[in-house]
Amino acid sequence: MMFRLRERRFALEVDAVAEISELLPEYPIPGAPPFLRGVVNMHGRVAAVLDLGAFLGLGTAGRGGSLVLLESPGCSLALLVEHLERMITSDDVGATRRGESRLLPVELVLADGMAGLLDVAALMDAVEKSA
Amino acid sequence: MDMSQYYGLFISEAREHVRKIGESAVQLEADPTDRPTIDALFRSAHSLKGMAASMSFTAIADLAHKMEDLMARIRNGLPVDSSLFDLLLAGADRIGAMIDDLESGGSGRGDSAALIARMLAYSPGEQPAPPDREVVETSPPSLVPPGEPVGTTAGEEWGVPKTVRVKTDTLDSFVTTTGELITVKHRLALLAGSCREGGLHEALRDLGRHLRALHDQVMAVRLLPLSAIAERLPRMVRDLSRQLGKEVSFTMQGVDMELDRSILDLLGEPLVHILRNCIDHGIEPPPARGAAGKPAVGRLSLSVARRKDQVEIEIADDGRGMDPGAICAAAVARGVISGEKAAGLTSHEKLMLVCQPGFSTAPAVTDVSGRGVGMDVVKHTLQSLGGSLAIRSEPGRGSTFLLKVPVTIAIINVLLVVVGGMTVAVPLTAVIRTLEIRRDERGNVDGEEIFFLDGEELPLLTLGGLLNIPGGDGPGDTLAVFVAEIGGRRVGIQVDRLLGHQEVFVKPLGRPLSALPGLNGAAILGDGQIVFILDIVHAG
Repeated sequence: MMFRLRERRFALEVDAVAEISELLPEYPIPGAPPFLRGVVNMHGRVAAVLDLGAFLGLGTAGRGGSLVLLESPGCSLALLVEHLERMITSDDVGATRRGESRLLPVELVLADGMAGLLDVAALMDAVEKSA
Repeated sequence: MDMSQYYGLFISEAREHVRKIGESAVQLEADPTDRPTIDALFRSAHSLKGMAASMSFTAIADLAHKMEDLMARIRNGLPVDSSLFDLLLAGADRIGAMIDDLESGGSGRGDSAALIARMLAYSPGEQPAPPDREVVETSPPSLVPPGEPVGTTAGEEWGVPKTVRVKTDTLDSFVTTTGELITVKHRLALLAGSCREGGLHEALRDLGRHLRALHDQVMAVRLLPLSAIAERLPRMVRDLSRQLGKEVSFTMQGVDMELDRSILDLLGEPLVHILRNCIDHGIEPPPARGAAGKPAVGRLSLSVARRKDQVEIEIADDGRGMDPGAICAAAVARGVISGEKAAGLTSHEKLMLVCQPGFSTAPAVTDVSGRGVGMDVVKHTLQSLGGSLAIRSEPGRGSTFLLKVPVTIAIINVLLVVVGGMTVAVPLTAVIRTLEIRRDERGNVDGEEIFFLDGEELPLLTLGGLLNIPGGDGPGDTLAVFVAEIGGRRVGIQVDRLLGHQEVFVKPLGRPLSALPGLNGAAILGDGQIVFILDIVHAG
């Protein structure tokens, strides 16, 4: 699943996505760092909202967007993304390149540009450490 | 016949019997003439044998059979010596290992020939006799179908069981559904607020009453006595004391106290760790005890008492105790705390330094308690349960560990407060009282704000300060305050506004929120608002 954030494209493996939702009312988290914007009620599940742009140092997300709830054991984290692009399959990927960091270990080369593939487990570890 | 559907049942019942054998063997060691315990050991071995035989687990059935024979001989008057208890405990351990193997997909077999030979040769005070000379009372393996009562004694009725086994997942889902219903009730109550239809309000009151009853019943079903985890402790204490060459008399009191099973699940490890610490570091070896004018046998006790919605577990030893000064010095030397900060600590706070990560006063790492989970993990576990840990100790006189845990955790009463524009919840069990004080009743001593409550000077903290969020004094003439106990000391905690109390369903926090300090869970209020439940005792 591909999405856009601060003029860059990212991808998540579909298995790592539990649910996609429009923006929901957010409630503050006492003592949380600014990149954890708040919590939302996703059908009775309390999920923290991560401003991925702010966390990756790309700048805080603009208005609008969607929430992508991650699927990972024991985790309750939704990514705030600016624009959901489309689903791609392995056939759409021309080649892969080594990514820029542990969070983005693989860069997908597509017909219309590049997309960084997010490693959800590494992201979760990094968020937890920074929180 | 396909027996695989009975595996789960067999494993849980067999474990229960193994546990009973271990427990009874330790009990019998304390009083070798205790006839009911001898009978109980016989029955457990007999039941295990029958169950295992019916499932064709011959290795378990054979060993249980030999244990049953051994107990039959004891029942018939064969004298008892200490090697009997070792044999019984070794048998229970071996069967326990075979059950573990079965559960992980193995065959449940194991070489028990040497152990069986020792059981057959058991003869107190004599050389082991060859097995063929033994006169043993045997009973053939019974073929009781799994799922039916086994090991029943004469006089017990056969019929429809009055109890059923339910998967714990099912019990958990009851709590979740009840919790969601309570949230929906609060939502309905809010929606009905402006409605003048009297019938609606009456129906809501009825709904509330039934939900409270449902909640109480669901919670009662989940309660298990502490003995479910405590029964294995005497065995652990016995084995460890022997290993360390110490003599320990261990007593337990009040272990029939019931707690939610999710709390019991997490409580076992802290209890074991504290007891191991008491035996390893607390109770001295007999010569040292003699030199200190103490009896050779050390005393170790575990007692349980209920106080409001909390259960208090006290573990006490009469060992060498802990010296707050020495602990503090060690903490400073290891960089756990700065010398400046250490100087301002009370004795209790110095003792609690043993719960800091990386702290250990053991001169060397021992197999027993110098490694593995530390007191920091114990404290963290209790904290995650909404409980607390306090330590009292006197050098030379012994140490006491007081563990407090809530009876249930899923649905709790909270005090809702506002701080820095944020609504947060404090468990009512942590709140001693709420009050409003006039601004001019607030004083300042050595740079710390204080106020007086019933003639006692209490520190006045701000919740905003504890949580690191902005929260002002507010415009009014009065300050909203709740009183809580932090680190054994009553303190006032100032908030922007007290909203009142409410029953909420606690939702556990997933990652990464679970890593944030001071948060115990979250709850969704009737208007959909999410509030965090604060761990006020450990906040800041």
